[in-house]
Amino acid sequence: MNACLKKYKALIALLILAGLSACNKPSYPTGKIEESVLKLCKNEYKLDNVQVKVIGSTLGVYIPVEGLVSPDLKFNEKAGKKIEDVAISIHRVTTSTDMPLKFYILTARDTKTVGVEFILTGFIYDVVRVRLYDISRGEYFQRILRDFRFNPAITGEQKARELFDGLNKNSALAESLKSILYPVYIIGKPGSQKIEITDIESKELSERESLLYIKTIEAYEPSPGFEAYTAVFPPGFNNEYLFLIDLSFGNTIKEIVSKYFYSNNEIRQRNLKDTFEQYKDSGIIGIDGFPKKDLDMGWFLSQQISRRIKSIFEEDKKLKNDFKLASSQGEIKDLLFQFKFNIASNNNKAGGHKIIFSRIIKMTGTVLHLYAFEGYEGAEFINSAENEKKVYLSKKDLERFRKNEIKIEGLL
Amino acid sequence: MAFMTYRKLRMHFMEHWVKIIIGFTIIILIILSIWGMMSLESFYRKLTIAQMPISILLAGLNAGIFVFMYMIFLQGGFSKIKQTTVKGQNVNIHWEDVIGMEEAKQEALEVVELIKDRTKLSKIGGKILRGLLLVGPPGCGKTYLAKAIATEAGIPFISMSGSEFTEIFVGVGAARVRKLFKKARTLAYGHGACIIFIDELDAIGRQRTFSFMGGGQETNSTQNQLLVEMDGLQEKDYNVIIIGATNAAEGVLDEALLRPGRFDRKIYIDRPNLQEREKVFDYYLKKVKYDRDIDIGRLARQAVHKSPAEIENMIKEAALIATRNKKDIVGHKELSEAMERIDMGLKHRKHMTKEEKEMVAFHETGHLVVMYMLHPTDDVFKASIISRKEALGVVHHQPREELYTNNKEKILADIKVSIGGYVAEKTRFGTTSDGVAMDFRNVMWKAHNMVWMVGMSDAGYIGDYTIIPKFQLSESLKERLNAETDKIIKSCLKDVEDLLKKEWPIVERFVKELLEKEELEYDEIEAIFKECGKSHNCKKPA
Repeated sequence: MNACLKKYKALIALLILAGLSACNKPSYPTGKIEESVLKLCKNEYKLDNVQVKVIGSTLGVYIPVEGLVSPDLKFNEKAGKKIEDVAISIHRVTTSTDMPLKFYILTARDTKTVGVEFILTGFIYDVVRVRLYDISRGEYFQRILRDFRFNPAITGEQKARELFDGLNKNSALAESLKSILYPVYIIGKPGSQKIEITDIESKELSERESLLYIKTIEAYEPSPGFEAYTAVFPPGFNNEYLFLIDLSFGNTIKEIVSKYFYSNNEIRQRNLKDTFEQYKDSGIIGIDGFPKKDLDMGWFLSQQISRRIKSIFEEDKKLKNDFKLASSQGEIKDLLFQFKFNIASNNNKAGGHKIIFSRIIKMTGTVLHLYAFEGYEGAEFINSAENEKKVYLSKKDLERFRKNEIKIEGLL
Repeated sequence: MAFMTYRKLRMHFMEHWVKIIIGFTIIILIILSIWGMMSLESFYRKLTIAQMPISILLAGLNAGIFVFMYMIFLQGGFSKIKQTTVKGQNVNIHWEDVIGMEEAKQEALEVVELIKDRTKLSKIGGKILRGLLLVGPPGCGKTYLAKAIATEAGIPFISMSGSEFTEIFVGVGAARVRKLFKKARTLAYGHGACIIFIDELDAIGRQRTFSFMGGGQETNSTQNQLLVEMDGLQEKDYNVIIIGATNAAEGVLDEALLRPGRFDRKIYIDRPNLQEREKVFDYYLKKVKYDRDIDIGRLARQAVHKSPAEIENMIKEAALIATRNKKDIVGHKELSEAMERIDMGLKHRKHMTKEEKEMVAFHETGHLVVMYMLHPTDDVFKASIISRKEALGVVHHQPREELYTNNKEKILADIKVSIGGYVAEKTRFGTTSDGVAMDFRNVMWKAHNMVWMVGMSDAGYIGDYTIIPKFQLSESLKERLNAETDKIIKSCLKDVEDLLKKEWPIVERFVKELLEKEELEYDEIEAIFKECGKSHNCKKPA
């Protein structure tokens, strides 16, 4: 009997060991991440137009969606379901891989209404934690970044193309832009001009502004008396333009700058490329729908905290009553967090500024502590509604404030 | 061969079918679980594995609660018996290990032969042995002998104690007997035979009582079931041999148990005799490191009436004492101390005045000298004035060999030894202490019995007068008998007084030694007597 029991035990132990060793293999190994996401989306959710790209430790997923928003710009439920399916596929792959991925970023872009996009950004360890019930679902939703917006770069690009199309049709618009689109509409025979875009580069300057650097090839027939210009601008010459796009501006195209201009009886030119390079791109998603670079924890936390600031003053009934939040932005530069917000007291409540800063600093300290984030030296909090009132705390002080070892009165 | 293998496999299945089905189910479940796990994504696999310890813990807790509730409320567990089932060869106690009971061993050997040759016996129509009863005092190796029988016969051995059958609920004991025999029959089916050993059989084998109040009903029903199982109407006769062990007298057991067909053979296992004790000492001493100069014969003589278990205990105790004394081997001193500790109890020194101590020394010396000079059968092994239990001093003596009768000379010598303490006290101090109370009780009891019971008076009174009611005896007879008793005591007193007066220097010498050393061992006592020219080598232990 004992021998029999020993055999049973040995067999059971063997089975368990075999099972456990088999369990060690990741379901989606490194090198097959893109393929795995595509396969899951296609096989399980019937989505075959998904594109995937890994940039460093960030998984970028792009899906074009027809009718992401309705004509009245309301979010479409059906499109939402598709995004959810892709997000589930991303979660499944990123949690069951041995690849050291940190972030995922999902971009869903409307194919009908140009420029409308939904971006979902998340930290993969947060997905693991919520699945392990280590953090609540409420906390998880605070941790992911959801942006539903018009992409100023894409909208600008579209507008630029429409503009050049219009020019080529010899519209009245071309006549009105003669002086700006120098020189073909000055030296060319009406109706002979044709401008072809060869390259567009764009930069997001803010949530609503973008800067486009456009290269063109321009063909024309010289107007009588302008034949000599063909020596300087031979038909089919290369030209460049800078377009400043502002979505809040009526015509969207706020400013156009041409490479060539005529001044003091001579033809001059500007270095537009250098000018373009001088501007910083604040956008995360490129025209192709993928992140422009690998995401980092500092940036992710700055964005998350700026959104949390919004939610504090918008979701807490009492705070919403007492204060008015106009904006909230966050960034990290040279290891320094900067949170700029516009929160005003509705009824000039006494000590209102203390409440604002106290709540924001406390929340910031807690978030950074929860992520055990060490890659910063301090944080700056600026309230533009209070004459740019600024509070700076070093990393150590932020932690002390979180532990109630520093009072807000000492900071203001 | 194939048939036996088939029978063994079938027996194995019959016996363990629940375990086999559970084991098989567990394996299938594990395979299914692993299959299921493999179909999970690695995150969920890891999650499941991580949760396994707590899941197992919770499952164990739930199972524990369920079993507890089941045992408490559904009674399913009350009749469950904890049987110690072992294969004969695994018992691993052989004939050569059974020592100190040569006669019992011979009888048991016959039983083994009978068990082995039952097929032959059945063929010639002989009656198959059913039960074997081992009777004897505790610690004499009844269980040991039963185990040796199991080993030699090479058949399974189920051991239970009689008390394991008894329960407060009526019927539980009987259910346990049924289960026990069912198991034994299954084993007998597979192995050809099976031994059930019931230790302390008297717990369920006492004579049945019939009370109108219903008392003893549980014991009765347990015993009835045992009787039925042993020789009742069974569908098929299996080779199940029951060995019972008890230290109760035969009359205590129910007659139905002892009739042929049940415990039809009895083996008496008594305490070992001198030769057997020597073997026992030799056997157990080999298990410890001991001084090769130890005289095993002397130890055996010293350990008269001791059971093998007591001897084993003595040697273990000696080993402990040796360890405590930081000695590598067990010597005679440790064995002597162990025996003394077992026989006389632990020493605990009482604070006595010098006079008291001197009185005790004279008292014990009185016993010692009389014992040495006059006792025909006993040897003095030790004299001590260290208090133990209630006694302030002691003279340890043992008969040189087993004596099962006492003659007149021995009893008179016993009386004189008892009086010795009194005489020594009176001679030295002119007064006596109450330390003589127990001695006088012995003296009176023995002298009285000599006259009243066993016809040992010089006046020639024969017969046991104690069985006649006192009022039927004439006053004059009683007076004469008592006068004889008195005469014996006085005669002994005179002899002792004469002896001690004559040997007073020896007495004083022993007192001096005792006061100095507090204890005198056999060798020291013998040396002093030798020194005084009184040694009698004829009485000297080997």
